[in-house]
Amino acid sequence: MNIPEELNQPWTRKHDHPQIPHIANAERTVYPESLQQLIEFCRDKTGGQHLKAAGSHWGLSEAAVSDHTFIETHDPHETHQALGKTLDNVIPRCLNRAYLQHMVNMGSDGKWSLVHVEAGKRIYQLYAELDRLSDVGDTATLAGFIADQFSDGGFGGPWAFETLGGAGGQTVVGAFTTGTHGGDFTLPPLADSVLAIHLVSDRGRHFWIERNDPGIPALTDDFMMSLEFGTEELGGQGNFELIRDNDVFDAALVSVGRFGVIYSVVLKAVPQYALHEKRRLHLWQDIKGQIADTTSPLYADQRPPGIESDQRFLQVAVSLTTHLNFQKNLVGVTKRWPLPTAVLTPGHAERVGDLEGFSAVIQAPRFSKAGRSHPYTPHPDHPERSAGPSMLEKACADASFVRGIINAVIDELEEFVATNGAVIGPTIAAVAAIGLGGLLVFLAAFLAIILLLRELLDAIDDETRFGQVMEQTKNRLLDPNLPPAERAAGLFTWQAIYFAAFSGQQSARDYNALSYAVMDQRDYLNVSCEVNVESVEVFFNAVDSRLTAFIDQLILFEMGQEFEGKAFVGYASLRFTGPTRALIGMQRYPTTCSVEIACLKDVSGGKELIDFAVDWARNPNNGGILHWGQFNPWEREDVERIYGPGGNLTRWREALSRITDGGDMFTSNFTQRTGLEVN
Amino acid sequence: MHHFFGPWDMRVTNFEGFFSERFEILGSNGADGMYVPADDGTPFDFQVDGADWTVDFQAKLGDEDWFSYEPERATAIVPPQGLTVTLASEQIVLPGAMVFNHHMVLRCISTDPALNPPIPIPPWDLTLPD
Repeated sequence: MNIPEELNQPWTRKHDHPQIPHIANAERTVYPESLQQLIEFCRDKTGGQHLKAAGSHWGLSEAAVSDHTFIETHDPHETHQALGKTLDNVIPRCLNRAYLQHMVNMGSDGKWSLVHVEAGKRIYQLYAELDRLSDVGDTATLAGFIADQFSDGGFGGPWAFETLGGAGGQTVVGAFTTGTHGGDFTLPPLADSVLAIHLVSDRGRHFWIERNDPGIPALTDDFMMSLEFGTEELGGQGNFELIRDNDVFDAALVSVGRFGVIYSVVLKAVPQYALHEKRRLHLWQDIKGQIADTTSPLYADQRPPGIESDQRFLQVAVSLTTHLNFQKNLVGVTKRWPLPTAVLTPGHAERVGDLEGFSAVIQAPRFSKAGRSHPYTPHPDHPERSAGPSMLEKACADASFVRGIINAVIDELEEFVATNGAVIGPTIAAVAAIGLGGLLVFLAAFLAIILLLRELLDAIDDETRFGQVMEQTKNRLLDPNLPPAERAAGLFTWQAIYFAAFSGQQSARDYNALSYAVMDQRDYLNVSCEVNVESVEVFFNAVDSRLTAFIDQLILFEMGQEFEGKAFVGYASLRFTGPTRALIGMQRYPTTCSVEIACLKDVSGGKELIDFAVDWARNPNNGGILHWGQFNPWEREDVERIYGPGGNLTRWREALSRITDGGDMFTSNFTQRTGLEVN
Repeated sequence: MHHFFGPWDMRVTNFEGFFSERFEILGSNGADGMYVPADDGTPFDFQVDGADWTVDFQAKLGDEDWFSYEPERATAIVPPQGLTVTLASEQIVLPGAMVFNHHMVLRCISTDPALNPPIPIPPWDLTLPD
């Protein structure tokens, strides 16, 4: 069976520079369309070339990069067919009857469903599919099968992911195998929703790997699985193994592609639910003392009116640029509470949309808004309904929103200067501290800065990327060659622009919407703000003071580089997660905090801050853990210091040895550098 | 036992209490040994360097044996010196719910410029008059 392929084509990641592919000439890229093709390709491959699965290309880590051949599960250009099916061969007819009885016995509390999907299905596609009612009269569906066999018609859905990361554009498998998470501190990350993994490994051998948890029946029936996957087309009975071993399962969950290509997974889904989100602006210096106390109001805020459940989500977005005379930093604090859905709970129309029919390319039904819409934004006066794209989302779509902010700041500065400091606009008032009045010394310098800004606005056109605009703005305002008074005025103006932009992005809001509409905050129509991006994510024990010291150190680094003409344009976002079962997952503590630092590479200073952050986090005094799916320069000694040997890394390596039998088909420069190998 | 990596400036202070207190450093470049601080509050400064070295806090009551205990570790960026780790505990809790007060505090300041760069000092006053 021939597998579709391309030779010597460029290979790039979603967040790379649009004109500069990450790999100019990838030797071979293949696009399997079925399990059989995938098995045959891995079995028949000749030569010593190494393989690596790729999905959405959203990862920023070298972990996603192959030394030779890429196996694409979801062609990002959608010219080749994806491995995107929702499968019905295992669910329901290969399920273990005792497991089904276990599901039924749970009653309405703690009810869950199962979904089996190929590896190339994107998260937004799956949450759109789950948010539909199943035909309880059709015994080919799980809901229909349970209704027929167990006389329980309560599995018709709609269903949802129990938790998600902050975006839905990744493939489900790409997200969980790199440890992707959200900010649900009462829940483990997405990987822990996985119940089974179907893996194709060295020489085309394939494995169905399940959990083996005490008191819970096996998920599948051995005999039915051997009939389904022991066929001659798939290499026969000797080419397939069903493994129920927690070490192997927990190793494969976060495996960075080293174990092979995951063909499909079974995920647990929960009844569809809504979320209430509350966001407020605060100061970092006021709230940081609460972070180490998981009983503080940051984690245990009062329930909003009408909500009967406890807070489950926390995100703290930090502006690294200071204000109030270099003493304070804005933070946007976002909290969420789960609640039952209601008939009019919004989100479906905005984030899923209408069914458009079956797509042969993604091998699934296409929805008009899934992966093709702005984030859900509540109407400011009517939070029960959507307001359409926010100012920033519109701006990023046409790359010009910064004009509005700069113009507003210019207007305030002009009035401030014209009245000799008597009239103080809202942004100036918010950014300037009360003190000795040093700003009044720089009134004349502000006139020169206003002139510079006006020249800048004239030079911006609609083709200029947001990052390029910010680079030009920063170069003019923070130019270290300006006279001292203009440097002071320029720095204050930069703080004012940054303050206005951050405040707009993180302004107060309260609203309810369907689960995915709240959790998936990705702007899929953004063409400007999210290209040429660099990001890193560092994990700490949330109750360890090294976490807040890390943020304070970043703030000081940013202050220092702004004095020297550089700046970080981006965000540092703290999100909190429960512990994972994955052996090399990053969520190792009862409450783990991830600090995501993302910047636009167009602006000089962003990469410098990220490099500093990585070096600081990697220093063994500081205990930072790096995300496998983002910028990750770890070496073997870093990984061994954190995960073993003698601990989880040893168990991970033993599982790797068992699956690959010492083979190196899926090794890469990254796995060798980081010691994700048998030895 | 707490691990440190690289060069640190150390200051220990101690006050007379119910217990004798000391700490041991191991794995350093030339600073290994048992340190018994004065118990009159006089600070004692010293430096420790090494790829991976440890501090072990110990206490004893009267003629009893020395025992190791786990101090609380707090990390902060403290102007002007920067990255500061403080090892201290107000109380030592032993199995059997025996609780003891103690008074030894070890303050550690990183002298690695990559880990603890100088804290920038704002050159301008960007304030409005009251």
